Amino acid sequence: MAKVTIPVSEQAEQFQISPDYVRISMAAAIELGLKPGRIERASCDCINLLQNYPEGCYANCTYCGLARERPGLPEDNTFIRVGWPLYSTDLIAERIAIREAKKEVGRVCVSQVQDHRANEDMMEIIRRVRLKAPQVPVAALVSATLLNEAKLLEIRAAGVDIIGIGLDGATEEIFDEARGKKTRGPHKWDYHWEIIRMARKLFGPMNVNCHIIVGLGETDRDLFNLFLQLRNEQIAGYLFAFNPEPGTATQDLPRQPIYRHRRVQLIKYLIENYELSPAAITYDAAGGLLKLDAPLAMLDEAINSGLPFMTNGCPDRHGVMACNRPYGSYRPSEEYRDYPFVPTAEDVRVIREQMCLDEVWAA
Amino acid sequence: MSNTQEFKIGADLFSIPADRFYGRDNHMWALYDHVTGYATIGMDSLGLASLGDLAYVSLLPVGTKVERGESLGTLEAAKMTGDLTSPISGEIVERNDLTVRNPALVNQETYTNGWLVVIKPSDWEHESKQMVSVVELPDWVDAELVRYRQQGWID
Repeated sequence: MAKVTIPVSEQAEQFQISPDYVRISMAAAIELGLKPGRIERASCDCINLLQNYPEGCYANCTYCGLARERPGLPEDNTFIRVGWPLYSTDLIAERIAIREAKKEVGRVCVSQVQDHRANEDMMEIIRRVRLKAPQVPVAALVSATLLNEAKLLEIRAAGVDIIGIGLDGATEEIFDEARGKKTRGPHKWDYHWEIIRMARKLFGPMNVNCHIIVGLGETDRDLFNLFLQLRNEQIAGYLFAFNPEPGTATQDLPRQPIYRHRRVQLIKYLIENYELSPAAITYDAAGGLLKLDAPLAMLDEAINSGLPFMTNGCPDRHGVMACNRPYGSYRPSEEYRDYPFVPTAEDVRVIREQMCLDEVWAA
Repeated sequence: MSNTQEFKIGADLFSIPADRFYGRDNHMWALYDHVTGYATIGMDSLGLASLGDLAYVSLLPVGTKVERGESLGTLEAAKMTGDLTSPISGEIVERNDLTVRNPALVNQETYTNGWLVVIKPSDWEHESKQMVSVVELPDWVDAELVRYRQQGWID
């Protein structure tokens, strides 16, 4: 029988667990000088941290590189494709403080995985970061399944001003298939919404965000209805582009065509910023976008700004988007899915070509 | 003269061996074999330090003729892409497919097993004089460190 062994270079990481150790996104590691490298056309203004346990994550989301039942060992797995290097929490906190002294760090985000230690350890990670960098805004990307009102209040008392929740699936059916009971995972749609609304009540309007993955099998109608609901409840929606992770259950699921992603980005922006009415959108029998009835001036203004096509992310202390996740869901050699900077006029030209809006725009 | 020029970026120590020539701007090295008349080509550690860990490498096929300054392949690091620019003109006679399969080799064994291609130079005598030689190495490394820091490419 083949024997599975962990490479020597990675064995130490089995014992370097949170809260004393934490993973950091590659872009943030580059930004803090922990890893060599450059980020093409962008900087990384949000330091994203992820808890580390030998078991990875006890949830079982079909698209995630940290899934419990994903083939391979947890240390082989990657979160959003590029490896997240592991460092001591204190070292990262020191680097954040050093960077703060030179130039403001936009934000720090501490992400939970599904683990019984995750709540307590997240509080300790936040405490250590704020000890060294008391002014830096901190967001918590939480696992709703682990939380209740008391725990949300503790997180708020620790200085966290924004809560992120990975809803990921746009409907209950998609959620159950990708994250819930059909995956033998612990997550429940209704409980996620209970926590989202509880967090919205405790943290205030637009200080709670839902992550939504485009490309898990949902229709355009599902997405736009969700955007309308989020707008009405003053909850932020952050789009992510599905990008199949090798070794996961969805590794063979194709990515969404770029035209669809662009149209979804645009209509989300119109709903959020121009109060686009549901009546302006017509669907085909399958729930796909058939016609968009919006004034040309509105479309031109929105598209030419480039803003609909930027990464959705938490703001810095001045209200400017900080969490731009450069090349987080596509390779740097591929076309941008979300732009980690304001698209230039040339970028907008490319976006217009990709979007093929004339096919659905009702003049 | 030392066999290796060493420099630090943050806490990390890097080296640039003095036994080969370096492209002034592209940080590609060329190690000439006087017996075969061929030059092995790779990327130096300062260039790599500014890029980060390579995720993908592609190389042009054997038999391709390249001019100095032209692309002999492409690279993709975690958060950026770029061309691998040939420091000399000539014909690619061998390429290191190990680096295509395992790009980390370029970072880890930069001056040995992390080579990229072997080129049969068309004008080594002339073009090697336009590259950085052992005599210029210390000043060039110092100047490049300043330039890279000014660009914000390294700490």
